[in-house]
Amino acid sequence: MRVTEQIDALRALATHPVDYLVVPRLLAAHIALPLLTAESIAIGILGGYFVCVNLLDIEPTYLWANMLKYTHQTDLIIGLIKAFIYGGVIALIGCYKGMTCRLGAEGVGQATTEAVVYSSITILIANFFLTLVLGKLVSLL
Amino acid sequence: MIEVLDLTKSFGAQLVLDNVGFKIENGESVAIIGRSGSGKSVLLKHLIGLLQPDTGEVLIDGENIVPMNERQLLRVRWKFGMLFQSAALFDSMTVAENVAFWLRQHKHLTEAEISRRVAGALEMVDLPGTEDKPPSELSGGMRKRVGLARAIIYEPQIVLYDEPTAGLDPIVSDSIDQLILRVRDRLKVTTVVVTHDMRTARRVGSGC
Repeated sequence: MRVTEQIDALRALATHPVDYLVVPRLLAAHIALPLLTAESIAIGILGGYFVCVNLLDIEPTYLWANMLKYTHQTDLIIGLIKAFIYGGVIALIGCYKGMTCRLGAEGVGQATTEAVVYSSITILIANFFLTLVLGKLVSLL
Repeated sequence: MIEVLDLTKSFGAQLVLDNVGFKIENGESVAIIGRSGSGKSVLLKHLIGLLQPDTGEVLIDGENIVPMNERQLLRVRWKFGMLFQSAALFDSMTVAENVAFWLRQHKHLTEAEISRRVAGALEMVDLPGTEDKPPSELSGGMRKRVGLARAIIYEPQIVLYDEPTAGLDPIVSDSIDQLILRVRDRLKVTTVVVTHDMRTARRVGSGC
Protein backbone atom coordinates (compact mmCIF):
# COMPACT_ATOMS: atom_id res chain seq x y z
CA MET A 1 0.00 0.00 0.00
CA ARG A 2 2.86 2.35 0.76
CA VAL A 3 4.43 1.80 -2.66
CA THR A 4 1.26 2.86 -4.51
CA GLU A 5 0.63 5.89 -2.24
CA GLN A 6 -2.42 4.18 -0.72
CA ILE A 7 -1.25 4.97 2.84
CA ASP A 8 -0.85 8.64 1.90
CA ALA A 9 -4.33 8.46 0.34
CA LEU A 10 -5.71 7.13 3.64
CA ARG A 11 -4.08 10.02 5.49
CA ALA A 12 -5.36 12.54 2.93
CA LEU A 13 -8.87 11.13 3.51
CA ALA A 14 -8.48 12.08 7.20
CA THR A 15 -8.06 8.47 8.34
CA HIS A 16 -5.24 7.49 10.69
CA PRO A 17 -3.34 4.56 9.11
CA VAL A 18 -2.66 3.00 12.52
CA ASP A 19 -6.38 2.99 13.36
CA TYR A 20 -7.40 1.64 9.96
CA LEU A 21 -4.55 -0.77 9.14
CA VAL A 22 -2.63 -1.73 12.28
CA VAL A 23 -5.25 -2.02 15.03
CA PRO A 24 -7.53 -4.51 13.18
CA ARG A 25 -4.54 -6.67 12.21
CA LEU A 26 -3.19 -6.62 15.75
CA LEU A 27 -6.55 -7.67 17.20
CA ALA A 28 -7.01 -10.32 14.50
CA ALA A 29 -3.57 -11.80 15.18
CA HIS A 30 -4.16 -11.78 18.96
CA ILE A 31 -7.37 -13.77 18.40
CA ALA A 32 -6.28 -15.99 15.52
CA LEU A 33 -2.91 -17.22 16.84
CA PRO A 34 -4.31 -18.83 20.05
CA LEU A 35 -7.11 -20.42 17.99
CA LEU A 36 -4.60 -21.77 15.47
CA THR A 37 -2.43 -23.02 18.32
CA ALA A 38 -5.41 -24.77 19.94
CA GLU A 39 -6.19 -26.38 16.60
CA SER A 40 -2.55 -27.45 16.19
CA ILE A 41 -2.52 -28.99 19.66
CA ALA A 42 -5.71 -30.93 18.93
CA ILE A 43 -4.43 -32.17 15.57
CA GLY A 44 -1.07 -33.04 17.15
CA ILE A 45 -2.76 -35.18 19.79
CA LEU A 46 -5.00 -36.86 17.22
CA GLY A 47 -2.04 -37.46 14.89
CA GLY A 48 0.02 -38.91 17.73
CA TYR A 49 -2.89 -41.16 18.69
CA PHE A 50 -3.29 -42.36 15.09
CA VAL A 51 0.41 -43.16 14.64
CA CYS A 52 0.80 -44.86 18.02
CA VAL A 53 -2.35 -46.96 17.80
CA ASN A 54 -2.34 -47.86 14.09
CA LEU A 55 1.35 -47.96 13.20
CA LEU A 56 3.15 -48.74 16.47
CA ASP A 57 0.46 -51.06 17.95
CA ILE A 58 0.34 -49.24 21.29
CA GLU A 59 -2.69 -49.97 23.42
CA PRO A 60 -5.14 -46.98 23.15
CA THR A 61 -6.02 -47.00 26.84
CA TYR A 62 -2.35 -47.05 27.83
CA LEU A 63 -1.61 -44.22 25.38
CA TRP A 64 -4.48 -42.07 26.56
CA ALA A 65 -3.67 -42.59 30.24
CA ASN A 66 -0.09 -41.44 29.63
CA MET A 67 -1.26 -38.54 27.53
CA LEU A 68 -3.38 -37.29 30.45
CA LYS A 69 -0.63 -38.06 32.95
CA TYR A 70 2.12 -36.08 31.21
CA THR A 71 0.12 -33.28 29.57
CA HIS A 72 -0.78 -30.74 32.20
CA GLN A 73 -3.45 -28.09 31.98
CA THR A 74 -0.77 -25.46 32.65
CA ASP A 75 1.14 -26.57 29.52
CA LEU A 76 -1.89 -25.75 27.42
CA ILE A 77 -2.49 -22.43 29.15
CA ILE A 78 1.16 -21.37 28.75
CA GLY A 79 1.04 -22.38 25.07
CA LEU A 80 -2.05 -20.29 24.45
CA ILE A 81 -0.65 -17.27 26.33
CA LYS A 82 2.52 -17.49 24.26
CA ALA A 83 0.46 -17.71 21.06
CA PHE A 84 -1.46 -14.58 22.09
CA ILE A 85 1.80 -12.66 22.58
CA TYR A 86 3.43 -14.02 19.41
CA GLY A 87 0.36 -12.94 17.45
CA GLY A 88 1.01 -9.36 18.57
CA VAL A 89 4.71 -9.67 17.71
CA ILE A 90 3.97 -10.92 14.19
CA ALA A 91 1.29 -8.29 13.53
CA LEU A 92 3.36 -5.36 14.82
CA ILE A 93 6.56 -6.33 13.00
CA GLY A 94 4.62 -7.10 9.79
CA CYS A 95 2.76 -3.77 9.89
CA TYR A 96 5.89 -1.80 10.75
CA LYS A 97 7.86 -3.34 7.91
CA GLY A 98 4.94 -2.87 5.50
CA MET A 99 4.44 0.78 6.39
CA THR A 100 8.12 1.68 6.22
CA CYS A 101 9.18 -0.37 3.19
CA ARG A 102 11.19 1.26 0.42
CA LEU A 103 9.51 1.97 -2.88
CA GLY A 104 9.61 -0.53 -5.75
CA ALA A 105 9.27 -4.29 -6.07
CA GLU A 106 12.66 -4.85 -4.44
CA GLY A 107 11.62 -2.81 -1.39
CA VAL A 108 8.42 -4.84 -0.98
CA GLY A 109 10.31 -8.16 -1.28
CA GLN A 110 12.92 -7.05 1.20
CA ALA A 111 10.32 -5.78 3.67
CA THR A 112 8.46 -9.11 3.46
CA THR A 113 11.63 -11.13 4.06
CA GLU A 114 12.69 -8.87 6.93
CA ALA A 115 9.25 -9.13 8.53
CA VAL A 116 9.49 -12.94 8.54
CA VAL A 117 13.10 -13.01 9.76
CA TYR A 118 12.61 -10.39 12.50
CA SER A 119 9.37 -12.04 13.67
CA SER A 120 11.09 -15.44 13.87
CA ILE A 121 14.09 -14.08 15.79
CA THR A 122 11.90 -12.02 18.13
CA ILE A 123 9.71 -15.04 18.85
CA LEU A 124 12.81 -17.18 19.48
CA ILE A 125 14.17 -14.67 22.00
CA ALA A 126 10.75 -13.93 23.53
CA ASN A 127 10.13 -17.67 23.93
CA PHE A 128 13.14 -17.98 26.26
CA PHE A 129 11.95 -15.20 28.55
CA LEU A 130 8.27 -16.18 28.39
CA THR A 131 9.08 -19.79 29.27
CA LEU A 132 11.16 -18.54 32.19
CA VAL A 133 8.56 -16.08 33.48
CA LEU A 134 5.43 -18.16 32.84
CA GLY A 135 7.10 -21.26 34.28
CA LYS A 136 7.91 -19.34 37.50
CA LEU A 137 4.38 -17.92 37.66
CA VAL A 138 2.80 -21.33 37.20
CA SER A 139 5.01 -22.88 39.87
CA LEU A 140 3.84 -20.18 42.30
CA LEU A 141 0.15 -21.00 41.69
CA MET B 1 -6.46 30.46 2.44
CA ILE B 2 -3.14 28.67 2.04
CA GLU B 3 0.04 30.48 3.04
CA VAL B 4 3.52 28.96 2.83
CA LEU B 5 6.37 30.76 4.59
CA ASP B 6 10.10 30.02 4.09
CA LEU B 7 9.56 26.30 3.55
CA THR B 8 12.74 24.22 3.43
CA LYS B 9 12.92 20.47 2.97
CA SER B 10 15.88 18.15 2.43
CA PHE B 11 16.07 14.40 1.93
CA GLY B 12 19.50 13.51 3.27
CA ALA B 13 22.02 15.78 1.57
CA GLN B 14 19.60 16.67 -1.24
CA LEU B 15 17.92 20.04 -0.77
CA VAL B 16 14.48 19.82 -2.43
CA LEU B 17 12.70 22.97 -1.24
CA ASP B 18 14.73 26.07 -0.39
CA ASN B 19 12.85 28.88 1.39
CA VAL B 20 9.69 28.52 -0.68
CA GLY B 21 6.91 30.98 0.04
CA PHE B 22 3.55 31.84 -1.55
CA LYS B 23 -0.06 32.61 -0.74
CA ILE B 24 -3.22 31.18 -2.34
CA GLU B 25 -6.52 32.93 -1.68
CA ASN B 26 -9.83 31.10 -1.26
CA GLY B 27 -11.40 30.14 -4.58
CA GLU B 28 -8.16 30.78 -6.48
CA SER B 29 -6.91 28.29 -9.06
CA VAL B 30 -3.14 27.92 -9.08
CA ALA B 31 -0.76 25.79 -11.13
CA ILE B 32 2.67 24.96 -9.74
CA ILE B 33 4.97 24.11 -12.62
CA GLY B 34 8.48 22.75 -12.79
CA ARG B 35 10.65 19.99 -14.19
CA SER B 36 10.26 16.39 -13.08
CA GLY B 37 12.07 15.85 -9.79
CA SER B 38 12.10 19.56 -8.89
CA GLY B 39 10.04 19.01 -5.72
CA LYS B 40 6.55 19.98 -6.88
CA SER B 41 4.88 16.91 -5.40
CA VAL B 42 6.91 17.32 -2.21
CA LEU B 43 5.61 20.88 -1.93
CA LEU B 44 2.03 19.73 -2.49
CA LYS B 45 2.33 17.05 0.21
CA HIS B 46 3.49 19.71 2.67
CA LEU B 47 0.25 21.64 2.11
CA ILE B 48 -1.83 18.75 3.47
CA GLY B 49 0.68 17.68 6.12
CA LEU B 50 1.73 14.40 4.48
CA LEU B 51 5.35 15.57 4.82
CA GLN B 52 6.95 17.64 7.55
CA PRO B 53 9.31 20.47 6.52
CA ASP B 54 12.76 21.00 8.02
CA THR B 55 11.93 24.66 8.61
CA GLY B 56 9.13 27.03 7.63
CA GLU B 57 5.39 27.29 8.14
CA VAL B 58 2.27 26.15 6.31
CA LEU B 59 -0.80 28.15 7.29
CA ILE B 60 -4.25 26.81 6.41
CA ASP B 61 -6.89 29.46 7.12
CA GLY B 62 -4.34 31.12 9.42
CA GLU B 63 -3.54 27.93 11.37
CA ASN B 64 0.05 26.66 11.25
CA ILE B 65 -0.12 22.92 10.56
CA VAL B 66 3.64 22.22 10.84
CA PRO B 67 3.75 21.61 14.63
CA MET B 68 0.60 19.47 14.55
CA ASN B 69 0.75 15.72 15.17
CA GLU B 70 -0.96 13.19 12.90
CA ARG B 71 -4.22 13.17 14.89
CA GLN B 72 -4.48 16.97 14.89
CA LEU B 73 -3.78 16.99 11.15
CA LEU B 74 -6.76 14.69 10.49
CA ARG B 75 -9.08 17.56 11.44
CA VAL B 76 -7.31 19.94 9.01
CA ARG B 77 -7.45 17.36 6.21
CA TRP B 78 -11.26 17.47 6.22
CA LYS B 79 -10.79 20.71 4.27
CA PHE B 80 -8.73 18.97 1.58
CA GLY B 81 -9.32 16.60 -1.28
CA MET B 82 -6.28 15.22 -3.05
CA LEU B 83 -5.81 13.49 -6.38
CA PHE B 84 -2.57 11.53 -6.35
CA GLN B 85 -0.25 11.08 -9.30
CA SER B 86 -0.94 7.33 -9.36
CA ALA B 87 -4.58 7.93 -8.32
CA ALA B 88 -3.77 5.76 -5.24
CA LEU B 89 -7.04 3.83 -5.40
CA PHE B 90 -7.44 1.15 -2.74
CA ASP B 91 -6.92 -1.95 -4.86
CA SER B 92 -8.84 -4.25 -2.53
CA MET B 93 -12.02 -2.18 -3.01
CA THR B 94 -14.39 -1.56 -5.90
CA VAL B 95 -14.82 1.87 -7.48
CA ALA B 96 -17.92 2.54 -5.34
CA GLU B 97 -16.16 1.48 -2.15
CA ASN B 98 -13.21 3.73 -3.00
CA VAL B 99 -15.43 6.72 -3.68
CA ALA B 100 -17.55 6.09 -0.58
CA PHE B 101 -14.53 5.63 1.68
CA TRP B 102 -14.62 9.06 3.35
CA LEU B 103 -18.38 8.92 3.89
CA ARG B 104 -18.17 5.49 5.53
CA GLN B 105 -15.30 6.57 7.77
CA HIS B 106 -16.61 9.93 8.89
CA LYS B 107 -20.37 10.15 8.33
CA HIS B 108 -23.22 8.01 9.55
CA LEU B 109 -25.27 7.78 6.38
CA THR B 110 -27.63 5.10 5.14
CA GLU B 111 -26.45 2.80 2.35
CA ALA B 112 -29.06 4.38 0.05
CA GLU B 113 -27.69 7.87 0.74
CA ILE B 114 -24.10 6.69 0.23
CA SER B 115 -25.05 5.04 -3.08
CA ARG B 116 -26.81 8.21 -4.21
CA ARG B 117 -23.78 10.39 -3.41
CA VAL B 118 -21.35 7.91 -5.01
CA ALA B 119 -23.46 7.89 -8.18
CA GLY B 120 -23.49 11.71 -8.14
CA ALA B 121 -19.71 11.94 -7.75
CA LEU B 122 -19.12 9.40 -10.54
CA GLU B 123 -21.59 11.28 -12.73
CA MET B 124 -19.59 14.48 -12.18
CA VAL B 125 -16.38 12.78 -13.38
CA ASP B 126 -18.17 11.20 -16.38
CA LEU B 127 -17.93 7.63 -15.09
CA PRO B 128 -21.53 6.61 -14.35
CA GLY B 129 -22.22 2.90 -13.96
CA THR B 130 -18.68 1.89 -12.99
CA GLU B 131 -19.49 1.35 -9.31
CA ASP B 132 -18.79 -2.39 -9.24
CA LYS B 133 -15.53 -2.42 -11.22
CA PRO B 134 -12.25 -3.14 -9.44
CA PRO B 135 -9.48 -0.54 -9.97
CA SER B 136 -7.41 -3.13 -11.88
CA GLU B 137 -9.97 -3.03 -14.71
CA LEU B 138 -9.71 0.75 -15.17
CA SER B 139 -7.51 2.66 -17.62
CA GLY B 140 -5.11 5.38 -16.41
CA GLY B 141 -7.57 8.17 -17.20
CA MET B 142 -10.45 6.34 -15.52
CA ARG B 143 -8.37 5.74 -12.40
CA LYS B 144 -7.65 9.48 -12.18
CA ARG B 145 -11.35 10.22 -12.54
CA VAL B 146 -12.26 7.78 -9.76
CA GLY B 147 -9.49 9.29 -7.61
CA LEU B 148 -11.03 12.70 -8.22
CA ALA B 149 -14.54 11.46 -7.41
CA ARG B 150 -13.17 10.07 -4.12
CA ALA B 151 -11.53 13.43 -3.38
CA ILE B 152 -14.59 15.60 -4.03
CA ILE B 153 -17.46 13.47 -2.69
CA TYR B 154 -17.30 15.25 0.66
CA GLU B 155 -17.09 18.68 -1.00
CA PRO B 156 -13.78 19.89 0.44
CA GLN B 157 -12.74 23.55 0.38
CA ILE B 158 -9.41 22.86 -1.32
CA VAL B 159 -8.57 20.28 -3.99
CA LEU B 160 -4.93 19.36 -4.64
CA TYR B 161 -3.95 17.70 -7.92
CA ASP B 162 -0.58 15.94 -8.15
CA GLU B 163 0.36 15.63 -11.84
CA PRO B 164 -3.26 14.97 -12.93
CA THR B 165 -2.35 14.44 -16.59
CA ALA B 166 0.96 12.59 -16.22
CA GLY B 167 1.10 9.46 -18.37
CA LEU B 168 -2.13 10.24 -20.23
CA ASP B 169 -2.56 10.87 -23.96
CA PRO B 170 -3.44 14.44 -25.08
CA ILE B 171 -7.16 13.70 -25.57
CA VAL B 172 -7.58 12.17 -22.11
CA SER B 173 -5.39 14.95 -20.66
CA ASP B 174 -7.74 17.53 -22.16
CA SER B 175 -10.76 15.81 -20.62
CA ILE B 176 -9.06 15.75 -17.20
CA ASP B 177 -8.31 19.48 -17.56
CA GLN B 178 -11.99 20.12 -18.35
CA LEU B 179 -12.92 18.05 -15.32
CA ILE B 180 -10.65 20.12 -13.03
CA LEU B 181 -12.33 23.29 -14.30
CA ARG B 182 -15.79 21.74 -13.89
CA VAL B 183 -15.06 20.75 -10.28
CA ARG B 184 -13.65 24.20 -9.56
CA ASP B 185 -16.67 25.99 -11.00
CA ARG B 186 -19.37 23.72 -9.57
CA LEU B 187 -17.96 23.26 -6.07
CA LYS B 188 -16.26 26.69 -5.83
CA VAL B 189 -13.10 25.08 -4.46
CA THR B 190 -9.57 26.42 -4.16
CA THR B 191 -7.56 24.49 -6.74
CA VAL B 192 -3.83 23.74 -6.60
CA VAL B 193 -2.44 21.78 -9.54
CA VAL B 194 1.12 20.50 -9.69
CA THR B 195 2.13 19.74 -13.27
CA HIS B 196 4.90 19.81 -15.82
CA ASP B 197 2.32 19.92 -18.63
CA MET B 198 2.21 23.55 -19.79
CA ARG B 199 -1.16 23.12 -21.51
CA THR B 200 -2.71 21.98 -18.25
CA ALA B 201 -1.01 24.82 -16.36
CA ARG B 202 -2.36 27.41 -18.82
CA ARG B 203 -5.87 26.00 -18.71
CA VAL B 204 -6.41 25.50 -14.99
CA GLY B 205 -4.13 28.10 -13.47
CA SER B 206 -5.23 31.65 -12.81
CA GLY B 207 -1.69 32.16 -11.40
CA CYS B 208 1.56 30.15 -11.81
